[in-house]
Amino acid sequence: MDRLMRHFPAFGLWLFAAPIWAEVPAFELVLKDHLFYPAKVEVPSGQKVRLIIHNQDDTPEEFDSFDLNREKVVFPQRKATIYIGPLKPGTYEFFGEFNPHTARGEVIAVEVKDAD
Amino acid sequence: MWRFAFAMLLMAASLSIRADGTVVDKVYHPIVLPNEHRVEWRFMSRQTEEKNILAQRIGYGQSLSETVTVEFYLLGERDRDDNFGIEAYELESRWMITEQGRYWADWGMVFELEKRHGLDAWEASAGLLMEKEFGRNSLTLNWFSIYEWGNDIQDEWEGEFRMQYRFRWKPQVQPSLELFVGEDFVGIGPALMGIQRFEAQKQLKWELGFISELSGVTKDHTLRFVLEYEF
Amino acid sequence: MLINSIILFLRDALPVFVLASFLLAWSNHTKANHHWLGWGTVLGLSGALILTALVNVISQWQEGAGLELILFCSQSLAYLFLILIVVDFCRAQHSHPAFALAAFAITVMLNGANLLVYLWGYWAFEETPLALILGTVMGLALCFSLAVLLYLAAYHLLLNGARRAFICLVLLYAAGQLTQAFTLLSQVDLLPSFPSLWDSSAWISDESEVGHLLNSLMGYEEAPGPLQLLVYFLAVGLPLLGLGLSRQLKLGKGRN
Repeated sequence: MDRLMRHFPAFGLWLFAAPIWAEVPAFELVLKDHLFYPAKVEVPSGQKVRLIIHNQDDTPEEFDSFDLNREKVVFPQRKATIYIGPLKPGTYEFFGEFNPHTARGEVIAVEVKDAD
Repeated sequence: MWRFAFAMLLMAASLSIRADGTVVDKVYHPIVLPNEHRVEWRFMSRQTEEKNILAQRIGYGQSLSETVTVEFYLLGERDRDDNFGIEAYELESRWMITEQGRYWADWGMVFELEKRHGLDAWEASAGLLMEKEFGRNSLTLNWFSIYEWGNDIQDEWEGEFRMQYRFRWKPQVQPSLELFVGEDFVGIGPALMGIQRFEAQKQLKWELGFISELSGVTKDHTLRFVLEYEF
Repeated sequence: MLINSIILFLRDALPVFVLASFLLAWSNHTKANHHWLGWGTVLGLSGALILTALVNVISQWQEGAGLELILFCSQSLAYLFLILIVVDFCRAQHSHPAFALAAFAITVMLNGANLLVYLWGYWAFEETPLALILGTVMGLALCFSLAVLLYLAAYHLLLNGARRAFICLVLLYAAGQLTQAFTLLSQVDLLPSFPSLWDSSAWISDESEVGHLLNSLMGYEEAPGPLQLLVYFLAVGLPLLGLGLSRQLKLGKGRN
């Protein structure tokens, strides 16, 4: 990872992100038969979180969300990680762009009290 | 010009009292060819958040005089169980009021009478058609006034407005933008029409349009496709 | 399936067609040749094929950020080439067709790869690829239709001497595309993301077709973050500032 990063010195940008890397909480989603499981993911608001999407179908799917402003292709039998947030409390829809009628879900950002 | 367009839009908005059905259809041109015979196939697929509607119609028409044609259509729709059946019959007549290119704009009318298959539900509509050319650009406007009656539906008046701006680039490729206004519906989208002439009066016309509901609150897309063969 | 294919086409291919219309207006106006269009398409599609073939591997690099990095770099390159075209156009009335070729090829590659992933992925699994074929053909036809109209508008601008308006259109388009590339970096956490500044989805939603069109044309975003906004304004403003300065210098020299 670090070795590869050195090949992109122009992206010293990643230094921004590195310190928080380890602490970002992750939420797993599974895509099967063009459906997301679970269809509703509750995440804490006000902080950055990771969505890990596991595509168990034999076709690629594009995770797409206008609300979250994210777009990423997840290949068959692969996992993809998407960073989102910090989000305001609320509901954020997402869908699979290749199967928009079935593959749908929501990220629900809720306020966490006493997070520490 | 803009004031004129604005007035047209206002007029359209005031007419928009359509309560049901699909607003997206064909934009009619006020032109009738003498000795015209034609067969027509229209395909319309509408996808909203909840449902998927597929409607098709086939028609045969011929001209009665140099300025009037009649056309008969069979309308089919796919129902909830994915069965495709006849839904309605329609009789349509188009009347070219002014000669093409003679006045500031070309004018025409269209009259339609539709009966739902197996139901006492009727629909009569009258539409005013206008086409204005600006160089290689054409602006076509349709105003429809529709009355529905019968024991199986609520009697009511409805209004509709359709607009098409078209650039006559090549006969086969005429890119256009279309606007459809009805009650609770304002749709706009790109379209394409073309015409291929063969010997004598034989010609094949096609139209393809993809109209999206403008508010964008819920998803509502309509794909329309028309093939017409005149002979 | 049919409508979905068309929607995907309109979304993914529109930026290519928008760029093609702008560049065609420019090259017809400056009487440059059109080789860039053909070669750009061929090179871009080849690039898209290679990218699609490798995308499975690339996306696993850098802990899953490989694809985003490559897309970001390519998009930045495309932006640079577009700026070169604009600068050249302002200074010498004509630009080098190689810049147009490069910018167009990269745009075709980036957007084409996305479509190819979809088409390839579903070709094999769809019992009747007819809907896919029809959707592709119809989507192409509709994009083409929009492109012709856009070309006319752009060409009209140039013909009427509204060069500045044309340049602004190109800059807005380039900035919009670049800003989206920056969003990709936030997605894989290579850039921090901030809460959005406002939400104009009540007026124009990203999800609506008008939203898509505006997004392709000038990078419209219903709820942009501060970083996106900064990148966008710098991407539009810096070239304009540079052009303005060089113009003033020239004027100053002329006076002396």
